[in-house]
Amino acid sequence: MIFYICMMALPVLQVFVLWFCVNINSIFLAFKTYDYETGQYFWNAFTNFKNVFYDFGRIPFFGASIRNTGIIYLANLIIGTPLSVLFSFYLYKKMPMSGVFKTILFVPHILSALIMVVIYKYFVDRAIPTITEIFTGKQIEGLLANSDTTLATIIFYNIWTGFGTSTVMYSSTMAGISESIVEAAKLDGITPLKELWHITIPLIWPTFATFVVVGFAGLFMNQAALYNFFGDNAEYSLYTFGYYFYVSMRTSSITQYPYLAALGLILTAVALPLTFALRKLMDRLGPKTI
Amino acid sequence: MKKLLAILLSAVCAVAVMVGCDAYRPGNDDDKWYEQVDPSKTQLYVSNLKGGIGHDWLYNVKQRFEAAYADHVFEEGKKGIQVMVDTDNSVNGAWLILPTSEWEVYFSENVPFNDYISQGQLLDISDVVKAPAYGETETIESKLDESQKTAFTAMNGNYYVLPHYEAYRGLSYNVTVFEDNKLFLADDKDNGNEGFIMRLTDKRSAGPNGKYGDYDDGLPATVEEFFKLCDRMAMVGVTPIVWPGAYVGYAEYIVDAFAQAFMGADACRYDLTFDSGNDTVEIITGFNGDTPITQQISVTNENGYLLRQQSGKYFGYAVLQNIIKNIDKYVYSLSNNNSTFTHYDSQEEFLVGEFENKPIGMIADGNYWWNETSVSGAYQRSVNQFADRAKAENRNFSWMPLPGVWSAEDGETPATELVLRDVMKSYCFVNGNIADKPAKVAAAKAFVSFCYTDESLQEFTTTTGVAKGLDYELTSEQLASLTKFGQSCWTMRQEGTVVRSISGNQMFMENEQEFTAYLHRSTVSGQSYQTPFTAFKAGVSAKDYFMGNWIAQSDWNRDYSKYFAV
Repeated sequence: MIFYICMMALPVLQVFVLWFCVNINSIFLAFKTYDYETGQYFWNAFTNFKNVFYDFGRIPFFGASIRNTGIIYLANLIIGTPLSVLFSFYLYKKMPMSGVFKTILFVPHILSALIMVVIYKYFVDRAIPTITEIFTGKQIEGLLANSDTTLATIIFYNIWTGFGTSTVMYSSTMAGISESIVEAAKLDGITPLKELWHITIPLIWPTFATFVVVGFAGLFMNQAALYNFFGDNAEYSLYTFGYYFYVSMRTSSITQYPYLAALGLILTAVALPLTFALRKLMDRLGPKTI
Repeated sequence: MKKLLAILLSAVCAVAVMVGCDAYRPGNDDDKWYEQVDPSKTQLYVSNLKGGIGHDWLYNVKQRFEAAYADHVFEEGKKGIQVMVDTDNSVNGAWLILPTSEWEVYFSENVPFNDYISQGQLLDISDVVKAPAYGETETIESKLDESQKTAFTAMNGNYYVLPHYEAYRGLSYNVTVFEDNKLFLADDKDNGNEGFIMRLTDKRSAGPNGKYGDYDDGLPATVEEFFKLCDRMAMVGVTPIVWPGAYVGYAEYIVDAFAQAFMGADACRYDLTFDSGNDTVEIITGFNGDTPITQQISVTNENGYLLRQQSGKYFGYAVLQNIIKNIDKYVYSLSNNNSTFTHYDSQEEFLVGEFENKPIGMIADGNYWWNETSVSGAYQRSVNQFADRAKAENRNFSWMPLPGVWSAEDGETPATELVLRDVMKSYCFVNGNIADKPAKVAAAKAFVSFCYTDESLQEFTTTTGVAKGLDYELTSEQLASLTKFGQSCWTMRQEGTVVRSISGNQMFMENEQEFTAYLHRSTVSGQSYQTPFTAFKAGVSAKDYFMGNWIAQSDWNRDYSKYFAV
């Protein structure tokens, strides 16, 4: 009984310390304003929330932030996740060169994110225009430099660099699938694709669902590596809420922190029920093993 | 084999982590300035922002200060002082966590000093400022201008900061390239060479200030002449302008520099003070086609939103729009939004272009760019590659005064006031967390006073080529010891008016970030732009961009009405 209570207390304690205690000041800050004369924050009820809602109608880049936040999440979900599952299956089945591919995929995670961004920038803004000119004789702008391709280039980077972690996770989960199940299916003449669909995906569903739900929970915090690419000065058309928060915190003065805290709380209020709903949905869609 | 690989990878990761941690240790022992703490002396910990100004100037002061106070007892049982310098501080002045910091005296930039003062995080140094600097008879306060005295003491009457270096942004030009290609304008506009000099001895035009025989002769006096110069450069194989494609915000330096030239010093100040008194500024209320409709207004807190509509700001955008329209002709190719072309790269290209037969006429950067070429290693690389001719004493760069007049009739001599806007909010201050340590307070104050003697100010300038934001002179020998670029910046400072990004206006002080940063954001047809570069590349006009930058009266009232009666 004591063991059970201790085990249950652990996550509660973790939430209390790592979420509540860490964020409590920010939560209170959302209801305060700064007074220069006293050097203190004091209560101002819901003024910051009113200002945020007012700005949602006034500031166009809030719209862009919502759009880009959604696009990047969906791109990762719709393009990145299936590719990652497919590739994990390739590695799991130990097909040709799988070891080499595994190493290549994991290299971005060994190198610092900033180094990866620099390499990627050189590739898309210098190498690609040069290669294009050599082969076609046409001069083109770099993919980041050209505003028509910037967002797609950023999305590609995010999918590519996120690929390694999810692939390792999926392939590790796949490695835990009982050999006897696979053997039995093979005896029944199952094809690799059917094996993936009918055996592998149902058995890795908890991992898959966790990735989807956790990714959604961090939706408004995902800055999509924009800071590494552009510092404080990414164009508004590229903004995500995660980036907006990060840059605003870097560049704001003490009077602006309460506004940001209020915006954070509002976005949490949006993300929290949606995350629970998504979790429910994933439970319903998946096999009844979660 | 796998085990060996795993061990190697682990070792690499461990070393990377250790190196990372070590980088933040004070007095990193792999840097040449590392020194052991001397227990027989009092230590003073001084943090200097790692940036374009470098650390050499601080070591010069440190040496002299330690020698001057070698026999002074700051605390019982110790004699003398040891200044421990943080050479690895990359933290922006707005991001310092002062209450828990071990550093006692700071030299930093982007310092929101009013925020720190209101939170009680800075030490009151009024007694230092109001007393003569070390060994002098004049007070440090006497070296400050009126705007500084007002702004520094506006919070509660006390001094907490002193100005560090002055930083202006705009264009610099390569005098050698100008001379080699005869790019100066001749006084005789009909000389058969499209108005450009044919020989270096030809009489040059009066330049932007309208006076002959001084620092700006032969430079464009109107915007039309500026573009004529750009066309000429392109024609003779000189790339007119370079800026870092990775940070296209540098193109805004051109907007700001032209806007300042059009507006003049007083109007620039009203952007910060929101008080023009009986004076007026010209604003644009609309356009008749492409022609601005202007109006003169007096500025107060209540109508401060109209300052975004100052006509000079429109002309700044119009200049940049024209540059972007001709970007392939006027601008270095990698400056065109290439994310790999940083400010260090643009400085290096500007530095070595003339030796590689790819000369560049002008660079959009701050007055600290020359110093930054040493910090980045670009200068040393150029000397290594091109030997003596690349050495500082053989280079000739200059700050470029810009015209504040679009065009002029024949026979008319336009004149533009030279305005330099000190934008970096660079200050020296003492950490308030030492207030209860009398020995540390005494040492810190003694050091600050020492840093603001005329000798220290002059030494700072001769070491860095950059001025401190106070009133002091250089001897002719000291001036001669500067690089040509340093000399030109000093001359501009003496001849022009420096407008500092400070104000004693409560509305400004409590909302400084809003009034000094991200001023070029604009919304055109529902699309927000961070920088005019992107908008102009997308075909937005200067007129629309300018109007998209305006502030609505309702928004102004909502945000700032507490500073005036609605």
